Amino acid sequence: MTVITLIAKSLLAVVLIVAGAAKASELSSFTSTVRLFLPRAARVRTAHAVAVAIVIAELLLGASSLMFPGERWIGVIVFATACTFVVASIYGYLNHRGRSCTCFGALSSRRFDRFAIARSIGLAGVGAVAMLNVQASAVALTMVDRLLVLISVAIVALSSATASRALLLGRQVTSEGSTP
Amino acid sequence: MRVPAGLMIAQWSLLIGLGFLVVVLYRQLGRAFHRPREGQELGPPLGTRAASFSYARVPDRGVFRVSPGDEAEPVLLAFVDPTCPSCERLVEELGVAETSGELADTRVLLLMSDPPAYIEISEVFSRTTLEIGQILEEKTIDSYRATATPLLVAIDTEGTVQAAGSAVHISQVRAFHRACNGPAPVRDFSVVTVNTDSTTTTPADPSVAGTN
Repeated sequence: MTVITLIAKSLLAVVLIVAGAAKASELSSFTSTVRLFLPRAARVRTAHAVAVAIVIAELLLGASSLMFPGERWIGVIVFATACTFVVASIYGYLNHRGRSCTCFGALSSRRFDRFAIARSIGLAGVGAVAMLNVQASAVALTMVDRLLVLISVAIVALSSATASRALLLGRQVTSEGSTP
Repeated sequence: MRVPAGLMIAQWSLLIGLGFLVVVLYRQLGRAFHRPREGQELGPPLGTRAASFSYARVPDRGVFRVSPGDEAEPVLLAFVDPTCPSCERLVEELGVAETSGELADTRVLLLMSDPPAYIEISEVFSRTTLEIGQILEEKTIDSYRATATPLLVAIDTEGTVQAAGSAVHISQVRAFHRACNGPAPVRDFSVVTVNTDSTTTTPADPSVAGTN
């Protein structure tokens, strides 16, 4: 069971890192998506701040989940985040059906639809498994191990941002609102 | 030395993630060397007659019909959405050109497919004095090949499409405006690249676009 829990933990962490970095590379589009979830009166600056906070939270959660796999409270926060995704996808489906969610920046053109809800529920399920206890010996990482993981996380995040940027530049036009 | 399972699984997951991203990058590299297929081109073909369409004016919801060729003045059609940052830039630039009187002889119409309430999301859309209409028929999008936003279409008084493509800079807006009044169709106004943040659009014909 420890291996399954660790796989679930790592899978979710990588998803968070890739999503966070891809969003960071296309922050203006993600800000537009955030604006859909805020009160109409909210200023662009507020939406931008929220977008930045989400990106930072995703990257931090993903990295810390991999670097400190034995810390159960991190797993709980990751699960809560995945549950937030479920709520957001349901809200998006009900209010902004068909719009791009920019969940993975330009890496994906996923929209608010039923599949998005199913996907986020799936992620929440993975998050629930990732909360389970694991054997202490399996997660006994040294500082050097954690540094190694951190470097790998940085490389993946950078690759994600680069890939998202490349997709964006390669397109004839922007992704957000791309299907009028 | 025994490697903890947590470290091994974490590293494998990151490696698989990295592999996926490398595949995405290489796929994109392959696409970059191929021209877009006919069906993926943006905007109506140049030199063709622009299609008639109906729109609901925002915010009063009055329904109007535009028949290019029957209009007394050239038309600049901008397919834009309030949730698209590049569209906001285009609307801003169109507003600047309109205010300065550069577009006095041209009808400028912003066409959006988003719900009218979305206008409140965008400060630029909220404060613009340009006419905004919501597209009523799906065929309008098809006939103008508005597969993405922003799309600017220049139509002369004869109803002929003189220029079509993405635009965000004032110099491009001016070039499109000139194309509206120009005697001959602009040969190629297709977009090479557009960036959401810095939005650098490079029209294919530098002799027409990019001039102030």
